Formats: sequence, structure tokens, C-alpha cells
Amino acid sequence: MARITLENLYVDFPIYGAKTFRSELLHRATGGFIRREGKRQRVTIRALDGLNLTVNEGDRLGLMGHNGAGKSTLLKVLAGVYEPTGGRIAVEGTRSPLFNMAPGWDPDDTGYENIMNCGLFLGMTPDEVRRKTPDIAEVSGLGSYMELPARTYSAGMMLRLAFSIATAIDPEILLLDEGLSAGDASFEHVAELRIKSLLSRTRIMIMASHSTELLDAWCNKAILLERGRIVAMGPVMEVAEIYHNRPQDIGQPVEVAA
Amino acid sequence: MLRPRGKIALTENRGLTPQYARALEDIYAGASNWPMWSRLGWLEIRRRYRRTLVGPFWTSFNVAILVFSIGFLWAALFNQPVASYMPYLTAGIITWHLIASFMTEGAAVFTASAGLLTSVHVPQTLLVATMVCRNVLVFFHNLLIFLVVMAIWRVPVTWDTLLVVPGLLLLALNGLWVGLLLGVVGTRFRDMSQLLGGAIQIMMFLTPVMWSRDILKGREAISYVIDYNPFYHAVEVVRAPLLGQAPSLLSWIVVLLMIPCGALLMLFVFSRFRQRVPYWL
Repeated sequence: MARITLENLYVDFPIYGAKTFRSELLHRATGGFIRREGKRQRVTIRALDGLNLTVNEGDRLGLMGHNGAGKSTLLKVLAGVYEPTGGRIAVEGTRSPLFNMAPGWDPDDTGYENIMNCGLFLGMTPDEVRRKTPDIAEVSGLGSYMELPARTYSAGMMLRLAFSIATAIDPEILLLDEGLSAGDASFEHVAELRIKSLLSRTRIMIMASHSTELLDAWCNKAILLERGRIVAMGPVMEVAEIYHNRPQDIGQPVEVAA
Repeated sequence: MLRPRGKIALTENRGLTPQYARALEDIYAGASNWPMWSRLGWLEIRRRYRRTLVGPFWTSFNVAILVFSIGFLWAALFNQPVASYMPYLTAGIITWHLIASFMTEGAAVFTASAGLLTSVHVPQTLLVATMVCRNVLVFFHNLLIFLVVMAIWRVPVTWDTLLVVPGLLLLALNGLWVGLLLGVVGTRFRDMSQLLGGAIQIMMFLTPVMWSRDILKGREAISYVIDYNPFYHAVEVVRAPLLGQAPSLLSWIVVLLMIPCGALLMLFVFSRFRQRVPYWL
């Protein structure tokens, strides 16, 4: 059984240094709140604001919302990268984040070496990687290029290999940011089968995206985030309807004095 | 391989109340994953020196230039016979290099892996263990210079030489808590690495690395103060065996005791601020 429970979950980002403050503000939390905590005037930005959510086995959950609504932050909390600054999160099952399809990628290593580099960081054991290597190499279609350093690859070739490695994992809980890009059109058919197979091995999938089309194709339910709060939950198309009809409220950051 | 073993991962915010269990879990998961950190440590060395002619031996080469260029002069300066000063200086410098790297690279260990720490869940200790492993590997490359010096000036190989193994092991264990402690503090306070760079240099001049304790003969008061310098003992447990001598009992005790004391200090900080590290990146 895979299952995720969030209870009254908060994430506040501390902002240090006046100079980075403005850029951080624009960059990370256009939809968040700025709060000043205590007398020391520590500035924090509230990225997630009291989330309650249960995700059960079989759920394919889409995260919708404008820039800065908290989609990526929520994914990172689910992945265990950020620990909540308030509330609790319980996760049953192993989590496989694929925000970066090729962590550990080294352009000076060969294709085969990169399968090992990335595979390990994606949570596979060395044996598992070795067992899956022939399959990954075949799907990537790189042929004898696999023996060459990855810096000799075109951008498309690199993407194909990274995609092939990333889709070789056996995740219980799969976390995606804007789907998985597979590159050129000729690869599309293979990629589609590959993704289908990956999703069929997955017990829970959670994906953040701006594309209603993508969410509708991959997900069976969705939530809409706005300023770090869940404002709607339900079937993908219904939530998308609400999303599109709402005024785009990226909101002026609100300063809250503690 | 990086997956958490537990079936249920429960993360609850408890503010800054220490979470010893989770800190220990991180330390265990990171330190025990030796296939991963040894591989990563080696990969990083390979990456740094890729497509250079002599690869990791570049650091050894730099040490060699340093030793051979200033060694003769300083031997004269300190009135020491070259045959004993050169091995002493070489062994001291490569050991100091190891200790200093634990601190300087420790302070930057999390900031250097910011991309990784903010995209997948890795035990923070794994990154520190990688750093320690990498620097021990660099030490072995530097050891080659010492072997050359050893051959030229006929440094005796004795049974005590074998003590270099436990000596290194103790330094590596100290490197682990130093890296975790400085790593957490250095991520929050970016001025730390700058400050540390200067402090380490001063420490090197205050510690008998380039000069020997023997010079202070007749001025027992100063010589006595050296016993209170933990860096002296840390250098001694590796340098003395390299020179074919046994380190003093005091040095063993100090370096051994630094592990639990340092680990407690590290745990005090790490159990409170471990979960904040990704936020500070």
C-alpha cells in the first residue's frame, strides 16, 4: 500500500541578505506571503499555507496553479527534499522524484557510464542498473554512440538517453514536474509506450503542470493551488475549468508584520 | 540505493527541538553506504583532473614543488640537517593538507552539492563521507612524494610505520564530524569559509608543521603550550608513523577523544538544523 497524508502542512522560506531578497521574491514566491518574524525582522515567504491532503494507491494527481502557487514546493516536500516548517507529512512507499531526469550526469563520461551515474542517484542499486543497461541503451537508440563521451552527443541524443534512464526506474510514488520530455518527434512513439509502462508500474503519481492537456492525459484527479493553499480538488477537467475562469491572481506579495 | 529503508517516512515539524533519531538515521544511512561514497569520491577526483596529463598527481606535484623549493632554505633557517628536515616537512605538509581540506571543503560540502540536495533526497552524511573519502584518496596520491623523499634521505621503515593506518582512520572519523558540523554552519553563514581559510593558515604557522618542536628546546614553556594544540596531535598521529616513529600516547588519546567530543558537538547542531539545510541553499 502506498499512501501520502499531509496534515496542516506549512512551508516558509527564510530569506537572508537584503540583496537576494528582491530577486528571491520575484523568482520564487510571486504568489507567497512575506512575513516578518519576531523582533529580528527575519523575512520569510510562505510557500505552502496549511495543506491537508490524502493521496491513495492508484491516484494520479495533477497539481495546477499559476507560477508561484506552490506546485514545485509541494513536490519537493513530497520528495523529502524540504521538511515542512509546520504540520506533518506521512509517506508510505518509496519516492522517486524525476524533477531532474539525469542527476549525476557527467558530459565527460560515456553513455554507459552515465547510465550508472544517473541510475544510482535515481535510487537504483548497482545490480539493478547493470541489469537494465542493455534495455536502456536499446531504447535510447544511440547505438555505438553509447561508447563515446556524452559531450559528443547532440542535445536530442542526450535527452533521449536521459529519458531512457529515467523511465527505467520502478517507482512506488512517482513525482514529476511538467511531465517527462523525450525530445524529437521520431522518438515520440517509443517514448509514449515507455511512459505508459512506467505509469503502470507506479502506484501513486503526482505531477505539476501548466498544461491542462498533459494533466488530462496522465492524471485521474487534480488539485488547484493558489498562494500555497488548495482552492479546488476533483476530476481534472472540472478543476481546469475553475483554474481558467479564475482571475490570474499571482498577487502582490503581502507583507505581514508579526 | 538512495532510497529510505523504512516503510513509512513520517516528517513532523518540531521547530528546532533536536531530532536525534532522525539525525542518527541520516548519519547511519550516509556513512554505511560505502559503495556509494567511495564511488562518488573517486568520480569527483576523476572529474577534477579529467584530460590533464598527470591527473590527480597534480596535487602531489604541487606539494613536491613546495617541499623542494622551500625545504632546503628552511632547513638552513631552522638550523636542521636536511636529511631529517625534508622527510619531516613533507610528511607534515601532506598530513596538514588532509586536515585542512576536511575543514575548508567541509564548510562548502552542502553548498557545492546544492543542485543535488534540492532535487533528490540524499542523506547529508553521504555528501560528507564522499568529501572525506575524496581527500583521503588525495592524501594517498601525495604519499607518493613522501615515498620519493623517503628513498632519497633513507627514512627507516619500522613496525611503527604501520601505525599510519589507525592514524589515518582516526583522522577520517574526525573529518566526518568536522565536515557535518562545518557543513551545516557554513551553509547558513556563508562568511564561514572565508574566515576559515585565513584561520587555517594561521593555525598552520602556529602548529609544528614547517618547524619542529625540537627548535624550542630550552624554552620549555612554549613547548608545553604546543601540547594544548589539537592540530599538533592530529598531525602527529600520521606524521610520526610516516617517519618510522610511534606517536606519543598523549597524541593518540587527544585524537581519539576528539571523536566523541566532536561528535557530540556536531550532533547538538546537526540534530537541530539538519532539516533546515535545504532551505539555506
